[in-house]
Amino acid sequence: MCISIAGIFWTLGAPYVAVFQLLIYAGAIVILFLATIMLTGRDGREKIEARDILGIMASIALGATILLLFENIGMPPSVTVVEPVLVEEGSGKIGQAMTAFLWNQRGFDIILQGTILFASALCCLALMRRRKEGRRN
Amino acid sequence: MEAFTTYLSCALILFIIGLYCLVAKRNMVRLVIGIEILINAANLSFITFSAYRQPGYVDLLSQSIVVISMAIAGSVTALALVILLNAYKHYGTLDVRKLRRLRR
Repeated sequence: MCISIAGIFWTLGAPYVAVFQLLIYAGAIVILFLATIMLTGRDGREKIEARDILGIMASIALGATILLLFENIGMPPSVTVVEPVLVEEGSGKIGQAMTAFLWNQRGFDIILQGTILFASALCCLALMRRRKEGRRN
Repeated sequence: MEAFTTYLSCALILFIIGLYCLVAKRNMVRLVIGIEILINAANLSFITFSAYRQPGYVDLLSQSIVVISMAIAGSVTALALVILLNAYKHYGTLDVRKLRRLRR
């Protein structure tokens, strides 16, 4: 799923996002999930209950409502905040423009993002460390 | 415009699958996977709108938002999985109903 979504991003003229998708989802998150499943073991298959069928029906109903909303609302109004890049210029040019945009105009967001990543890494380490201390006691 | 509808339908299908995971599943790993699928659906709809707003052009603002969202989603997933591992070590189960019963 992650790889096919990356392919869709590439075809939609977002090569930078496609590479990010491959790196983060297909590279990191899948490995994290595999490691977690390996450490926790299999719970076995869940039995389908009436609650599940109700959940499926509720999900489909919500999806249909969103579809109707999309049809009625249509495309959002065009507010030009950033100069758009021509798709015909190629994925290399789009990638360069994206890098320049990220560093020049969204620099503060990138720094904040780095801070969040650093904080979450510290939290993960702290949680794992606490578990080890608990084991010693 | 047909391609636009197809891509949005893909996002909608992903959204429904993620929502189903959140509503019907009890295993915490599956719940986190459901959240990931929902985030992917939101990202796909962002990129679709950015590509079809002005035909022939791409909007960089929505792409940058998606990149930031992906990185934050990665960190959130890592944290969720560590909390999940702690819960499993402590209670020996990943079933959210059983965990609710075991709560003190």
